[in-house]
Order: sequence, then C-alpha cells, then structure tokens
Amino acid sequence: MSIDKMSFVNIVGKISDLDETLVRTVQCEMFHPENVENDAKIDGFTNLSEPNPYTDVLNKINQILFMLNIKPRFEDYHSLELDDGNCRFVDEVFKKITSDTNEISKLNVMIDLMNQSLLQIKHMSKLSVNIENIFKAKYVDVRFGRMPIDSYLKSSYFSNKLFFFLPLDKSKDFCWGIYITPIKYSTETYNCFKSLYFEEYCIPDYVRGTPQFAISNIEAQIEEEKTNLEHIKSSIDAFKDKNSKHLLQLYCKVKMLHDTFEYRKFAVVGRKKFHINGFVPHSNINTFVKMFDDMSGVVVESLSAEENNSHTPPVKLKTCWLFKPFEMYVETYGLPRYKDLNPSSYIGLVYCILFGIMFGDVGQGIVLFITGLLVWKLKKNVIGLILTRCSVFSVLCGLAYGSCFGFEGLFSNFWRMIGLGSIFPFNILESTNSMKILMFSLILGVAIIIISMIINIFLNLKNHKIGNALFSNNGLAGLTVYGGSLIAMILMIVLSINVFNPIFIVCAIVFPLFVIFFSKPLSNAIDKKLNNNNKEKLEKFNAIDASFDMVDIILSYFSNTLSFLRVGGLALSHAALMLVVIKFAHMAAGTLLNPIIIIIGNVFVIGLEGLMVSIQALRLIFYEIFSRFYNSDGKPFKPAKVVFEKNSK
Amino acid sequence: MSIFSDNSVIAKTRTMYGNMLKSKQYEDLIMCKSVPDIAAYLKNHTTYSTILNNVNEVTIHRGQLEVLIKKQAFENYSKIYHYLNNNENAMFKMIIEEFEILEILRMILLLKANNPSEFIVSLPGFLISKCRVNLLELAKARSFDDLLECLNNTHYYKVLLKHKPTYEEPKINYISCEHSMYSHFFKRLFNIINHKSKKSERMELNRLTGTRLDILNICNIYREKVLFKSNPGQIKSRIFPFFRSLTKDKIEEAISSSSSDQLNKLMQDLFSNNYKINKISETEVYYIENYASRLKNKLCKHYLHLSNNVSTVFYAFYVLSQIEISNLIYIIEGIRYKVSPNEIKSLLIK
Repeated sequence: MSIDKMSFVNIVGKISDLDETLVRTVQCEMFHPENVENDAKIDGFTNLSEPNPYTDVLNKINQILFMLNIKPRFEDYHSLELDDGNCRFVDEVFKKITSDTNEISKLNVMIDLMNQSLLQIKHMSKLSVNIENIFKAKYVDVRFGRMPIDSYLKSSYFSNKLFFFLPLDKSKDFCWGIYITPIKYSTETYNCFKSLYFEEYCIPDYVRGTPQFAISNIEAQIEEEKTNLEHIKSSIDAFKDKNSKHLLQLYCKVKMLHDTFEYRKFAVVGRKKFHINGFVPHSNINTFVKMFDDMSGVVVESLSAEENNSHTPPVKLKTCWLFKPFEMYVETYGLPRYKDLNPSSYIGLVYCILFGIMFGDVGQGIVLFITGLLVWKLKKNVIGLILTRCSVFSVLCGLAYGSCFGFEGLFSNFWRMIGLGSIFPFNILESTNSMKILMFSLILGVAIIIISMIINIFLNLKNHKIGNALFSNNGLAGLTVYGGSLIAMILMIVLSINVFNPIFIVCAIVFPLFVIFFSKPLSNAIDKKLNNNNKEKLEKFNAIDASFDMVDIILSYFSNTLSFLRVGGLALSHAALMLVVIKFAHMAAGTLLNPIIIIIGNVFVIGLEGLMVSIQALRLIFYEIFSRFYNSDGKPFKPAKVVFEKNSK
Repeated sequence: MSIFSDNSVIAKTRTMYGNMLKSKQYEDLIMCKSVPDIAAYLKNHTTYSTILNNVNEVTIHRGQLEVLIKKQAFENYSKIYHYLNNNENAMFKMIIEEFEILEILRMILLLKANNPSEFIVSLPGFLISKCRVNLLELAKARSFDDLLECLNNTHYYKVLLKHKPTYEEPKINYISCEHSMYSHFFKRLFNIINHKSKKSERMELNRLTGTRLDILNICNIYREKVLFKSNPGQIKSRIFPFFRSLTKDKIEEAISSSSSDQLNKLMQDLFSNNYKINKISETEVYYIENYASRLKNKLCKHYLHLSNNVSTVFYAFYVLSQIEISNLIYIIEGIRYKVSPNEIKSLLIK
C-alpha cells in the first residue's frame, strides 16, 4: 500500500555537457523532469527555445517507413552514427521511394481511367463499326453518352428535329446511345440533348477499331499497366527486405536524438551553465548520481521530495505483483496524492472477494482464468491479469458453494475430508441460505465501510488534518455514529440487549452528529491552531448547507450499507441463471442437445454475469470506498524516455 | 385480412416518413456550397441515395436533381399504391390528377408567355407513363386550341373550354383557368372522400383537405386584398366554393372589411383557435403562405402519427413529401443564388 518515495534532483553542469546529460537522463528512464522555477531564472538563466534540428530528418524517415509499410520498432542503433553519409542515404531513399510511390499513384489513376473507359465502351458493344471513323466524320456531329431513362421517353418530342438518336444500352435509370446530326444543326441538337440532361462521354484517343476490338485492346493495356505496377512494387519490396534493418536503426537513432533534444525545454541556461530539475525514485537515486561520475563538469544534487517546496512530487505506485494489475483501476479514477497511500492492494483484495462471492463457480472460474491468461498473452491487456486474480476467488467461492458449471451440491467429500462437511458446501439457493448470503454481504459491506473510515482517519492524521480526522462524516465522529448504531442494533437483534438508553444515544449518536454538523468551523479552528502558517483558504460555515449535508450524510450511511446487498443479490442471480440452464438441459436429457445447452448456457452466463459482476464490484469500490478517503489529485510519474513504437504505452 | 393489410401499409408509410430528412440533415444541406455538394450529400447521407446512386453528382444539373427528388417522392407513393386496395387507391389517382393539373397549368402559363417550347425541359419524365393526359402531345401545343385538342378526351376539356380566348378577349386568363381547374379538382376529391365507408376516415380526410382549402382561400384573399388591391367582386371570384372551418359568412366579412385588421383577425381565428397553434405574429402575416404550410405540416404530422386509416396516412405522407420537396428546392435555389444560410433556414418548414 505504498507510493514510491521520490528524491528531488538538481543537475547543474557546463553547457557543453547538456546534450550528453540529457541523453543519459533519457536512457536511464528514471528521471521525471520539471520546469525550473522562477528563483533560478532571476539569476540570469533563461529557458532554451530552439527549433529541433532533427525534425526534418525524422519526418522523412517516418514517411519512408510508412511508404514501405515498416512498423516503427526498436532496433539497436548504438553502432550507428548520424553522419553525412547516413543523412544522404535518408535523402536518397526518400527521393526514390517518393518517386516510386508517385509512379504507383499515376499507374493506378491510369488503370482507373481505362476501367472507366472500358465500362463506357461496353455500352457501345452493339456497334460493329470503327469508333474513330464515326467520331471523325466530316459532315455530321456524332456524340456518345447517356441520358436519364425519363429523358429518353421525352426524346420522341424532338422527332421533327434533324438528328437521330441510336440507343445502344439501357439500365433502370439510364439509356446509353449516340446521336448523329448534321454539322449545321450541331448547336441546336446539342441544346435539345442538354435539355434532356444528356451526359456526353469523350472517347479517349487510345480507343480504336470496333467496340469489341477496343474492349480487348483496353483490357490488354490494363493488364500491361498492372504488370508495370507489380514490377515497381516488387522492386520496392526487394529494397525493403534489404534495407529495413538499417532504416529502423536510423529511425531509432534519429528518434532518440530528436526526443532527447525536446527535453532541452526543461533546461535553463546562463553563464555557460545549465540547470535541470526533476524527480528520481529514491531507490534509484544512487544509481542515477553514479551515472554522472565520469562527467566532471556535471554536478547532481539530491534532496528528499519533502524538502523541496517548489514542485509537487510525482506519484509512482508501488504494488505487490499479485495486485499490480489493479493499479489500472486506480489510474482510471486518478492517482492518489504523494503523501497518501496506494490503495491498489486494498481495492484489489476487495474486488477479488466481491467478484468471487458474486461469481462463485469452480468450472466457470477456471474458464475465466484461462480466458484471462489468453487475453494477457495475446492482447497484452491488463484486464486479462485482473481476470486471472478474480477467477482464483471465483474458484474458492465455487468450492464453498459446491458449484461447478451450474451443477450444485458438489465437493461434499472434500469438505467432509477437511472436517467442514457440516457447513460446506453452502448451497445458496436453499431458502435459509439465501438470507444468510444477503446478511453476509451486508456484514462485508459494513466491514469495508468501517475499514475505509479508519483509513480516512489515518490519512488525515498523517497529513496533519486533525479537524477532518476527528469531525468529518468519515472521521472519528462518523465512525462513532455508524459503528455505535450498528453495534447497538446487533446487540439488540442478536443478543436482545437494548443499549439504546439516553446516555448511549447522546454519546454515540447525538453528540457525534452535532460534531459533524459543526465540522467545518471546528476543523477550521483546530487546523488554524495547529498550523499557524497554513495559507489554505478556510471553508465558511453555512447552517442551511450543513442541515442539508446532515440529511444526506445520515441517509448515505443507510444507502451505502444497503448498496452491498447487491453482492448477495448477484450471487443468487448467478445461481438462479445456472439453475435455468440446467433445467433446460434436463429437458433435453439423453439427446445431443443436452451438452450443447450446458455449453451455450455456461458461455452466456460467463459473458453476461461476468460483465455485470465486474461492473458492480468496480462501482462499489469507486462509490463506497474511494468516496470515503481517496483524493485523486496525484501527478503521475512520467520519466523522460524515448518511445520507439507507435501507440505504445 | 383487410385490417392487417391496412396496418402493414400504414407501418410501411410511417417507415418512409421516418426516412425523410431530419433537422440535422437540413442544417448540413444548408451549409453546402454548391448544387454538386447538395447532390453528394443527398447521395451519401440520405434516403435519396437510391435514386442518385448512378448519377454523377459532380456534373449533375440543378433541374435534373430537382426532377430526381420529385421522382423519388413519386416512387414512394407508387410503392404504397402497390399495396392499397381498390377502395383506397382513388386517393393515389387524385394525386396523379393533381400532377396533371400542375402540368396543364404550367403549359397554359407558358402559352400566355408565348414560350410553350420550354414545357418539355421541365416536364418530369416519370409522369409520362403514369398520367392519362398525353404529356408529350401536350408539350407540342402551341396555342390554347392545341391544348384543348390534346385534352379532348379528358374531363379537363369541359373545364377549360369556357376559358378559351375569344375575339373579344384574346388573352388567356390564367387565374380563371387555375381557379376552375382547382375547383374541379376539389369537387372530385370531396366526392371521393364522401364515398369513403369509414366515418373517421371521412372526417380526417375532410379536415385535411378542408384545411388546405381554407388556407388557399385565405391566402387568395390576402394576396388579392393586400398585394393587388382588388375589389370585393374580383376577390369573390377567386374563392373556392367549398367552406370548412372558414364559413361563407366569415369569408364575406373578411372580403368586405375595409381594414386589414379584419383579415388578420380571421387568420388568427383560423390558425390559433381552430388548429391550436401559436398566435400568428405581425411579421408572419407577410409570409402567410409559408406560415400556412407550417400549419399543414403540423396537421399532417398529427394524422400520420395517430390515424388508423390508410387513406389519411397516405394523404398526409403525400403532403409532407411535397413539403420536403419544396424545402429541398428552397435550399437548391438558395445556394445557387448565394442566399445566406440563415435566410434559407427561415424558409424551411420542418
């Protein structure tokens, strides 16, 4: 439950050592850079703001990789120097690939045009005369095109005009054909056809002979262009095979130089010196300082993060491997503050327990485990790892319920063997057990809420917020009301001891509620007394707001506790859904449908219930736990580094 | 069986209504920069994609786009007509008659303007095979006599014969022709409606058509009185002799009133009291036709959503489709003549 301690680092050195210093800080991937604050700048230091000299060459390499369809990735570049020869190589490759790509585009356009022409010429296939002879006629104007079929119907209106229209092909919407008119009437006929929305197609020069001949000729030309296209593509592929490693090395080298140069914006320079500030995890500080031992012009000063007042330390969560995947949920909500605690393990444990109770089934748990492993192995998705953790609890609870793929009452021998046969297997669908599971989920909810309140008190005490620790609804006062009422109710219901006497009511309920009502002025007063230098703005007290808050607080104690009933409810619904599946399977007993129903039913329940249970467990954590103690104001630890893969995390 | 088939036709019609243009689509269309942009938008994002599928949106002519939009609407009516039984399809036939009347009146207007050869340019080709009037023959008419000869075997002949120009009155009186043609049309329409077997159907169709007539009458009075300053006799001749919400007395009172206040009051009565819509504002009085279309739009949407009668739903869908077509034409024309998007938007009826 911890957050990595940070050390504040100030690197000072000669300006000539700046680039090497940056390269080392970037390559070690443990330095979180911060902007140097004003106090350093006052002494004549200024920020560096120069254009990055590697941008052009990096853009070119990126374009080359894109055009060659090479996915950017890391390739060891340490033996490579970005000298003139390599820069020339990049320029030449860029020119060659650009020209090849342009050639491919041209050929593609040409093939498209020829395909379009082919489509039009096919509409003329009824003609058996040379196309060029028709269109080169001296005394008549001949035009080929199409008009809407409705216009074709209207064309008979012009029957008295001196032209004739020869329909060659028809579709549902259009009629293709040629019109022939004496040159003298060309304009008049053109206007007639314009009014009929005639779209003329210009026949390209390469179309010769009869339409049939032209079609075969164009098809041959298309094939020829396609061969040329393939030829260029294969030459590009050959180039790619030969040079992809060298290109990737160049890319990595330039990317490293480019990205490192970008970090110069964090440096301030003046009097031939530079300053860079940042944070390094405390556990790595010695390694980090030693890295610069061989650079006599560079001095690394380190302080503990608490000693530095100018920057908020970044947060790097430190969680045990078992609950590490649950950091994803914490990051989704927002990181904790540096001085708070890392809740990943706590919420991981609670999430797994809640999931297990709601989704208790040995068989389905094993399926989930395998699914989780596959998701992680194939997709590298953290959800897969979360599933593997949850599935273990699912198997354990399934063992307790005696449930496997919906078959209930199993594992009784196992429980008898370990001497718990009188309690387990615990069939939750039995009427007495249903109530027990609901009660258990309520008790679990109460425990979780109380633990969350205790964590809140601890964190506030740790951060010297005594007012919040004592008087807030999640502080000591809230814990007294909530815990006191619950204990009294349990005593009354279970042991028939009524402790609701005036003294108890005043001490455990009325007084703490009174304190919560005046929590703001009380907190302000106590915090003011303890922290004289505290410049935080004090919250104003408003009786009306406080009254509404009071109603909300009292109601939320009830509603938040009852909210945990869903855990029992979903456990019951899971068992009930599986009961339905098994009933259906029984109806098809002795047939092939029986195993099919069981398999499909299980897949359906795993999918549906798995999703519901995951969402509900997450909801309980975000609403019922985090709302009690968690502040998500933390700044993430982002070490300076070079990312070579695109879209990598 | 009939009830089930009626329900399926109603469902089909409502589905078509659901595919009509939405506010967001109108807003996108208004922001288009040119007619090809509009065509491209309609082709890629609306139900007009079917009709525009094979059209080259880059080279499309404005007129062609308008014809295709109208054709799509007509094909929709035809699809519904395909499922209507004999009792119901009379309404479809009346729609065709209205298209015929529109084309005949367009020809009369072109004859009056001595430009009948233009008729063929805007003639929607999809109507040629559907109308009983030979539209291609009508396109060849070069005089009123030619027109009458073309209509010789139709019921329009008698209606237009009395408007044949004479030696004493050689000019074509377009307004009289229009009045007679629409009077004839409404007479036939009410005749069909009143022969409907279901009372609720008769009532709904009467209300829809009656509203249309009321609006036409009130717009005519407004146009004649305020814009053309016509005398009461002339105004009376423009009134369609079918009275629904606006009684004969009310209309006569509005015609004979000396101030425009009386007319405004009449409009307030008609729009606000009878149809329960917001009061008509001072400025809206000047855009009375647009406001009247809004009223029609509201009423038709009401019946399209709530009526259980095929004819009513079909007729309401027809009116709403016509409103959509006019909206699209406003947009096309507006963008063509560089009208500001806000101005185009104010003309749209949604």
